[in-house]
Amino acid sequence: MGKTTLIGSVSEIRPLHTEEQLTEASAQVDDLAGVRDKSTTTVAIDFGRISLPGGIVLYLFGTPGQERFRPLWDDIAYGALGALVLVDARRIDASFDVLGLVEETGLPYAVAFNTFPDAPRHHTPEQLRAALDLEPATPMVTCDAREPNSSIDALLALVQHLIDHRPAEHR
Amino acid sequence: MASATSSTVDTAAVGDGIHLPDTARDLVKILVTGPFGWARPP
Ligand SMILES: Nc1nc2c(ncn2[C@@H]2O[C@H](COP(=O)(O)OP(=O)(O)O)[C@@H](O)[C@H]2O)c(=O)[nH]1
Ligand SMILES: [Mg+2]
Repeated sequence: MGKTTLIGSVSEIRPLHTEEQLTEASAQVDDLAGVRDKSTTTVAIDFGRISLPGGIVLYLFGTPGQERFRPLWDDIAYGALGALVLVDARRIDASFDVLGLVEETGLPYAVAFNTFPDAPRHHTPEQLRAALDLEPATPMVTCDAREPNSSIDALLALVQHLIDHRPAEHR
Repeated sequence: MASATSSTVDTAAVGDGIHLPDTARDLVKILVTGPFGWARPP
């Protein structure tokens, strides 16, 4: 987690934060009635901007990744060059959905683990990489989303990855 | 606010107080994403 926090801590413009009410067909079917009830869910979307040294300007779009919000995801991901995936090491399994979406979308990405005081320390980077089934080339950093410098470092790791892996015709 | 924003981007004034870099190729859209709020902010 930390999407809203990270964008707020690095953005040089006042970050925008919106809450979208989505109506979704509940995945839970009432056994007795057999009807799917509809409920609304709030999805938070954030927007910010940061200029990096070297003249690259990042437009940051914060959005949760979950398969059931696929249409929203496709809209927001349109035109993006890469993704920074914020992963809470205390709840690694909660990130499988979003990593799946990012990979399906074909977005290059970097993983940033939140630094929480109670985050498990017994995981080695290799174990975390294996748990998330990451490619060896996928950047993996730790990040305190509340700290601008830490957040910028995570974004720089992603940008460096994008530069290293850009299509040959752009080199 | 970020400290590493000493930008070298050439900006062109667009309207009132809005500055856009003059080269569109340097604009990069990035997603910041993660799991859907199992731990919602207060
Ligand atoms: N210690 C620590 N707290 C964090 C970090 N990122 C977010 N938080 C806290 O976690 C809570 C939820 O963060 P938020 O940015 O709203 O998460 P979002 O749902 O991904 O937008 C807030 O109280 C943040 O201060 C982090 O990297 N380290
Ligand atoms: Mg948020």
